[in-house]
Amino acid sequence: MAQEIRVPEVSDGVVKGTVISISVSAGDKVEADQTLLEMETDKAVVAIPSPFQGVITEVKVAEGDEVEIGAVIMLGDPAGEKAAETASAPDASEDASEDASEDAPKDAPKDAPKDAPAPAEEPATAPVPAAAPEAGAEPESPTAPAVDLQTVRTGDRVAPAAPSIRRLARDLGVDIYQVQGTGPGGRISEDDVRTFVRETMQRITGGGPVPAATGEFPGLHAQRPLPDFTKWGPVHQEPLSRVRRITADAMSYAWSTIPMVTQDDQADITGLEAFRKDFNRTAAPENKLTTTAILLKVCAAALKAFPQFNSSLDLAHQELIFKDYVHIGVAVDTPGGLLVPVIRDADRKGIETLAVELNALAEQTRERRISPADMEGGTFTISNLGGIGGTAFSPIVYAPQVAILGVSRAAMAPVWNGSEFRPRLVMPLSLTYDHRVIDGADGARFLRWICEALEQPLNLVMKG
Amino acid sequence: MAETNTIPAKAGLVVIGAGPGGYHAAFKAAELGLEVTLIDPAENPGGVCLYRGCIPSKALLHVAKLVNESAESEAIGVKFAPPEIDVDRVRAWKDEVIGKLTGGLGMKVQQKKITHVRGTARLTGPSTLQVSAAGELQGEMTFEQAIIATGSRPIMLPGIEASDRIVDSTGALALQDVPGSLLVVGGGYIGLELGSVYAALGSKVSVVEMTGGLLPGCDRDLVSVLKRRLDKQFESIMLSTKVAAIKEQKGGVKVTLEDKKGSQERTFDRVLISIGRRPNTENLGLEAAGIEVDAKGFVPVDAQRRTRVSHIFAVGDIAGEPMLAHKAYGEADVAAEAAAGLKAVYDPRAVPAVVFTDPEVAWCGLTETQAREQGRKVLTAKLPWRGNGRTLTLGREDGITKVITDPESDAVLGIAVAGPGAGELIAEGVLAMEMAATGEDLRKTIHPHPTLSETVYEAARMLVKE
Repeated sequence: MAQEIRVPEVSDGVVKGTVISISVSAGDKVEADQTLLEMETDKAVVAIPSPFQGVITEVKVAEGDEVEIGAVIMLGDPAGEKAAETASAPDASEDASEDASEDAPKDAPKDAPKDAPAPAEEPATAPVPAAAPEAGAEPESPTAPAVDLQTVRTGDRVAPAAPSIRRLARDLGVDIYQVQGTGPGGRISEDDVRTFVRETMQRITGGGPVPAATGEFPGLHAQRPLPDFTKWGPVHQEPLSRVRRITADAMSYAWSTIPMVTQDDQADITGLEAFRKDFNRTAAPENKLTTTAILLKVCAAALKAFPQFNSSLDLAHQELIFKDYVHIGVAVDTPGGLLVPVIRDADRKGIETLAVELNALAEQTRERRISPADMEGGTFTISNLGGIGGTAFSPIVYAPQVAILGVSRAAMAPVWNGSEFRPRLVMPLSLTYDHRVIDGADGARFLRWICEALEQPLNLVMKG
Repeated sequence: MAETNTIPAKAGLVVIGAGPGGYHAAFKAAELGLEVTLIDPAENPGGVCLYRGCIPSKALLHVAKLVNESAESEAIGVKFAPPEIDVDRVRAWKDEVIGKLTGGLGMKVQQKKITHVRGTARLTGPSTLQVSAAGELQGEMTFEQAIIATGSRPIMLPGIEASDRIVDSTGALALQDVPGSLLVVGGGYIGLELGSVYAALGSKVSVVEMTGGLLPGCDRDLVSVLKRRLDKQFESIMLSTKVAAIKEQKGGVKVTLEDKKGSQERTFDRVLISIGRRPNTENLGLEAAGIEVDAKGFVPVDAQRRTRVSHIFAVGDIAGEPMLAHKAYGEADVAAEAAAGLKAVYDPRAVPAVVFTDPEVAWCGLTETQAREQGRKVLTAKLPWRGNGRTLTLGREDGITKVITDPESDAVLGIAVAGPGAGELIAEGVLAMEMAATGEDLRKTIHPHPTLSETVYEAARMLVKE
């Protein structure tokens, strides 16, 4: 008997994705957990594994298709029927009965994937634009909402809401497909729409937590009408990638809600650089020590010394949330856009370990083979543009973090040592912080601490 | 009539075409406070629907119904003499119906202070157009926004010209006389409706359809309810049969018909070509405005019915299938609201389809055929009308009501009805779909007794095992 293979819940807040590659075709034998297709979600590219060992009988999606969590993507014959029933597909067993017309309707709501294990991470702590829990809908624009077109294409799962409710949602700028209906058959009521708006607004304005299923929606940052650019010459359009859309949303949110200050400083890394070069002479490629790896350790120690830099602001409860862990995000430039994988417990790892982890994670990120969970939970971020150049820049804090360190290119400079100018290698550092949480003096102290630790690494042991 | 021969130099919103899409958009936009100019060659609004489609065909179908019922009533003890049909009076009555409705629309144009320009419009740029009447240029105007609703026309077979003997739906509705024999080419809804009319008026009607069934796209069980009756009323229904040649001769039309067994020649007094409709998107100057049409001649539009040129909307038949007046109404509402700056989008959950034959066939939402094609699991309940009290009291036994739901959520996915009055019954299904009703909602709704609508309730009850 053919068994449906559905898109499992891949991460909190992710409700759909785009099929970017299909690894099997009808008739192929597959092993359990073998990758069937790859899907690009808001957060990452995830591989969808086969829930069973057996044969794929039908592929129901094509590359480029948008699929929702829980949608049927393929049909297959498990090699052993019994074994397949207990296999890990979150809701494959829901469809055990073949002849539905003989079946009584089920009472249980259909949203089985909700029960699937999901990362415990609160999406709000996701450090990066790419990890913002955007539920995937198009921004509501008066000219092209395209909600209906999508559903026509899949022939499945139109939002169960009356026309009056759909209009209300449109008027409020709410994507009805993100609203959780509480009525029979998941029907969406006016209250459901209003609850969605209330919870979203609370969250945007620093209110209380929002159920994971809703999440932040883009489009809050209204744009004025664009002029007709064709008046001045030819133009062409390209659709925004997911990463770009989410980055735009997260950056607008941070820029418009956080009063930010950028503090510049510079560190003499002549000694450090000599050590690093010397170390790398004998190091294997995967162990190569980068300046960013060293900065991870230094920042982790600094965050322990200045815990307010490792906090988040909770305006709704009038609290500052201090994190007892130090997870540092590192901005990685990928062909698909900026992604920020997170190094866990940077304070409890040696620089060698951090270097190995960072090299591996950066590699995976560039290939977009990291899981969404790898980009969640950061408490501070480092953005190192030194490899490209520049003397200073103002990074933007990744809400709900409160600080980010920007690194520019180190250069030789004459430094006065009290009696003469000496050529020293000097690295410019730019710290942007949330001024609601951190005072200017603390910002200066924090960055000075980092500079001093880079100049005299003994400080790490002395102070850290 | 708010007809003006002077063409305004400027218009806020210009509506091109005054069929259901056009006049509805014009009325709605005027209600929303826009300054509206409506351009159409006819004296009063109406378009194909009122002048050459829905309304005249329904008038004639009513005549057919009277004829058929009076003949059938002998079985229940009421015997009439065979009717004498005064074709001229039937035609005049049909035209009176059209006159009343279009005249009423003309009054509304005046009441709503819409500027009515008689003529045909041709775009000359993204914000300019020319109006002509009878081939003469009448004037030019500029507009801020436009809603194009120029409708569609019947397709003729290639190489065939319409004549007295070879007609399209327009010619058939004109009802010049009742031919002794009529061949209907195309087994879609238009051919079957008009074939029914002529059969009742006394013509020997044959239908030829290229595919293997009547009403392509409709579920077969519904079609079979209709076909059982048409088989009795029509001379013949030839499926999987092609028209290889049509030749007009003295005293008839010689038609070469080809099926698997071979070809045969037959002669008919008249031939009705009803093989489909084509959108009227030529000679409109769309390219001058920067709008392209697709391979089938439709204008691509977004969810607000805006074309690529965002201040120009397209609604109705030119905006794509299904080419139905009520779809045009829905689109016209959205386009008019969007033009007035409201956040409207066209996202119906179901557009009902109705075939006004006897019995009528109507459906909305997902069909069983589509569910099968999509491999989608559904619950389907089919209730034959034989057990329905109202059906029997109407002297009928034919009819079926079908309700399709989602086995997991119980949501109503589609409703289909074949039987007398199916077109009226389907409205409940459309409302159910729009309101995201479940099968349980239908079961918990008290339906009046004794009515045909109880079949919807009974079908919904069949979805649950007792």
